[in-house]
This record gives sequence, C-alpha cells and structure tokens, in this order.
Amino acid sequence: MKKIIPVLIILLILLANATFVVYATEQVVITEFGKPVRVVTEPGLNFKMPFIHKATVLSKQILDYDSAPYNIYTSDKKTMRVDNYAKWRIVDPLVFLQSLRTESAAQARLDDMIYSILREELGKYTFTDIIRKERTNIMQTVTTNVNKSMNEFGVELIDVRIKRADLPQENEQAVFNRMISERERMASRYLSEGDEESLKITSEADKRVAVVLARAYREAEEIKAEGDQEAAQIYNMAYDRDPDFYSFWIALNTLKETIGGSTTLFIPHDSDLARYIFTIQ
Amino acid sequence: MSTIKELITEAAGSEKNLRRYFVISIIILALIFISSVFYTVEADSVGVVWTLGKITDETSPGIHFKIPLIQTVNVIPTRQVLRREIGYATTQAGQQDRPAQYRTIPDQQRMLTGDENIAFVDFTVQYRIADASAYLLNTQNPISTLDKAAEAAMRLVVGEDPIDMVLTDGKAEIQAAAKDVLQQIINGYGLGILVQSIQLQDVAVPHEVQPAFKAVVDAKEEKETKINQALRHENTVIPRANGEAEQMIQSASAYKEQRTEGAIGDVARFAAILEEYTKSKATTKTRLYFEMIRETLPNVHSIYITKDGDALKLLQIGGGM
Repeated sequence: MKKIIPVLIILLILLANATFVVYATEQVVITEFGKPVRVVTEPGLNFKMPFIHKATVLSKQILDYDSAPYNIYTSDKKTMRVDNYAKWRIVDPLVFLQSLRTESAAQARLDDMIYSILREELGKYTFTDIIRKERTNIMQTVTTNVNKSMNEFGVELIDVRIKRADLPQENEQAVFNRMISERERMASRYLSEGDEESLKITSEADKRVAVVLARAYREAEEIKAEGDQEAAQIYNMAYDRDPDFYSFWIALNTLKETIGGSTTLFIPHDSDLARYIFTIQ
Repeated sequence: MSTIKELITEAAGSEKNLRRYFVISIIILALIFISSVFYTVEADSVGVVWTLGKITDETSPGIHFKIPLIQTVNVIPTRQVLRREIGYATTQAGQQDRPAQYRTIPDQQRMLTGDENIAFVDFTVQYRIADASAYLLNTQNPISTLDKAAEAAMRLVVGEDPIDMVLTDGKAEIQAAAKDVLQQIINGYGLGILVQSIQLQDVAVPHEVQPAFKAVVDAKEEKETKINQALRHENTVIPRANGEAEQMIQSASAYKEQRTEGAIGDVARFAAILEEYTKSKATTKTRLYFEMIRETLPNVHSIYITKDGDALKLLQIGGGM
C-alpha cells in the first residue's frame, strides 16, 4: 500500500509536465535538448514528452516597440525630434527561436534597424515636407525596408509610425520669434485694410451724396424753368389775342396796385380824368 | 494516520469542534466552488469564454455557467462607449457643485502645424470594443496601442493644416480626418475597436506667442469696427441726400404747379374780360378805367391839377373827397 503513493506522486508529476495549454495568443516550440521538434500554433490542450521535451512559449500577438525620442537631420539641415513606435509579430516561431531567441533581443534588433533606416529616409526630405506631406510615404518605405531585413528572423513588421515629430526644445524659441513676427505682420495688415476699406466706403458715399444733390438741383432748376416757360406760354397765348387791349388792361392793374397812400397824382386839367373829378365834385 | 487525527482533534479542542470546523470549511469551499462556476455578464457586455486556451464562446448578458479551472471568462463591455484622453488627464471627475479637474501632458499636446507653427492640442477618442475576441487576441496592450496610434493620427492630420485652421474653423474637418486615419491604423492591427469620434478639446498656442495671436484677433475686430462705422456713415448720408434731393424736386414741382396754375388763373380772368371787351370795346374800356379810378383815387396822398405848368392842389392827405 505504502509503495503505491510515491509511484502515484511521480506519475502525477510526469503527467503535469507532459501536458501544457497553448493559449490562443501564444505559439509554442517543442525542443528536445535544444533541437526543435515541432511547433504548436493551434490553441488548446497539448501533450509532450515529460522533461525530455521543453516547451518554449512565444507570443502570437502583435507586439509593441517604442523607442525613446531622438534627433534627426532633414535634407535642409534642420533638426527634428522624432518619436516613433512600431508593431511587429513573430510569424515563424522556429526561425525566431533559432535566431533572435527572445523578445528583448528582437526589440534590440528592431531598435537598431528602424533607427538607422528611418533616419536615412527622413534625411532625404525637407523639414516642411516631412511634417506636411511625406509622413505616410516615409513610414511605408521604412516598414518595407525593415521588413526585408527582419524576415530572416521570422519577424514581420506590421508598421512603423511617427508618433511625434517636433522641434528640439532648444530650437523652439526661434520658431516662437517667427510666429510672433508673422502675427505682427498679419495684425498690421488687418489694421491697414480696415483703414483703407473704411476710407473707400466713406469717400464713395460722400461722392454719391454730392452727385445726388447736384443732379437733383439741376433737375429742380429745370422743372422751375419749365414752370416759368409754361406760364409765359400761357400768358403769351392769352395776351397775344389782343395785345392792345392787354396793354390797357395791364396798365390799369398796375396802377391799381401801385397807387397808394403815399402817391401824389398830377392830372392835366384838360384830361378826361380831370373832367370826371370836377363832375363829381 | 490515527496520530494525525489525534493531533488535529487536540488542536480543535474536541471531536465536536473538529466536526464543526470541518463543516464550515466544506461550506466555504462550496461557496468558492459556486463562485467559480457562475459568472454574470452585464447588460452592455459580452462574456468571452476560454476553454483550455481557446476561445470557445461569446455569451450574452445574464448569468452563465463555466467549468472551473478549465474555463475562464473575460467580460468585455462591447456596448459601452469608452474614451481616451490625449494631451491631458482628468484628475478629478466633475461633480454637481464643481467642475472636473485636469492636468495637461505637454509632450502629448505639442504638435507642429503645416505652416511650422507650434500648437498645443488636447483631444479625446471615443470608441467601442466592437469585436471582443479580436480585442483580446490580436494585439498585446490594445489600449496603449490605441493611444499611440491616436497621437500618430492627430499629428499627421494637424501637420497638414495651417495653424489658423487648427485654431478656428478647421476643427470639424480635423476631427473627421483624424478619426478616419486612426481607424485605418488600428484596422491594420486587428484591434477590434471601432472609433466613434475624435473630439478636440483645448487647442492653444504656446503662451510665449499668445499676446501676438491675440493682437491679430483684436486687429481683425478693429478692422470690422472701422468698416462698420464707414457703412453706418454711408447708411446715414445717402438716404439723407436722397431725401433732400426728393425735397428739392418736390418744391420745384410745386413751384411749377403754382406758376402754371397762377398763369391759368390770371389768363382766365383776362379771357373773361377780353370776351366782354370784344362784345363792346369802348364801354368795357371806360368801365374798367373808372373802376380803377374809383378804387385808387380815394386812397392817394394828394392830387394836383396841372395847367400849363402850374399845379393846383386839389386834395390833401388821402381820404375821400
């Protein structure tokens, strides 16, 4: 009875070492004394020879690489501070295990490669072009080129991305100065535009006023002249019917209006008027 | 064997105590067992079930069974909108009586614009875990991946635009473009995340240049003010001039009316008298003459009758005879 228990314990230990679970996020390489035997990529419960076989677990996931920021030089001799990250994964676990062996070794290799290739690529373009339009282009080229080299290690580079591209802190003041003087130019431009346009509007308005008034004055005078003319025509037409009678009549009316309280009349004694006066006397 | 039992019994105190402790431990173990068999999936989540390392099921909200030790479950909130803050972090959530507190993360905020200006941009990414299995499987650290990709996307978009667009009227466009770029990047990683929106929060310029930027805003405003003043002047003087012009024309027309009507009136009187005159010339003339005399003579100051150069005063101060 007692002898069974240690045997059972040994069997349990052996069983424990012979089974292993491969998670869906993992891939496992089974080695026999360092020599690779098989690769397990399907998740689930698996078996191996206890102790003789060793199961090395590698990740099947997309892994992260993130470098510390560093300075590069652009083609126009400006300094840019670049912070990039990369996404990679182990596509051939066997090759990977035989070459790089560990994730940290892979990280180190990626570091070297991405750093030099990215630096080289960025150095081909000007600062402005990198910021404004060549970013995607550069990232794609670097990904392709690094991938070519990383392939022999069983590693696939998914992409390299520029997370941050800035000016080194030392160069910022120069940019601030440029920004300030650019803004100052804009401000004075707005002010002078304001003066110019308001002056234009005001003088246009004043000119229109002068024109409107001058035209109206002319028209008014014309209308008045028309009035005078029409009146004259009416008078002439009427009075021309009998000019003699008209002179008589107008003389009478004028006398009516002009003879008043301060008038002195001199009447010849042999005139009809004198006779009239004496008659009524 | 029996000695062990004796030792335990001694430690427990008595055989009855031993039984009691035994029952209690059985109950505790049972509870532990039950808690490892049942699991709850909240209403906005799914339960991703792993069986021996493999994803075997996605369970819907509610209470479910799982086989302990062999199965584990990740409850993933697939219907909840989650968010990431880039450029700043909320240190204290907002309450009813006080606003939320933040701290800025300058390295995340600082960006170069397309015209090589420096801007500080804070933004949030609103997202949903659309594919729970992909989210768990494909990428290591999916959330930090999302953060990094978000920074890369926003810097790409901001780097294409001039600073005035970033500060003022380009925000909607930038938000939409960054969202598209980010979604494209994370699709390449199989992140299983759907970006709902990106929202710009604070967008500012470095404080060293802020006065200069404000000066431009002020100058723009002043330009508007000056132009408005000029327009007001225009809107005052032109209607006024039009009014004056109208008036001038109206009074000229009135004058014309007056003259013609007056002429017609005068002429009518003359015409009437002319008609009479035409009928009997001498009579009319005489009558008119003496009418005039009658009207005017009584009012004159003095009348002199003259004969051969001598004047005989007939009447003095105007009065009747």
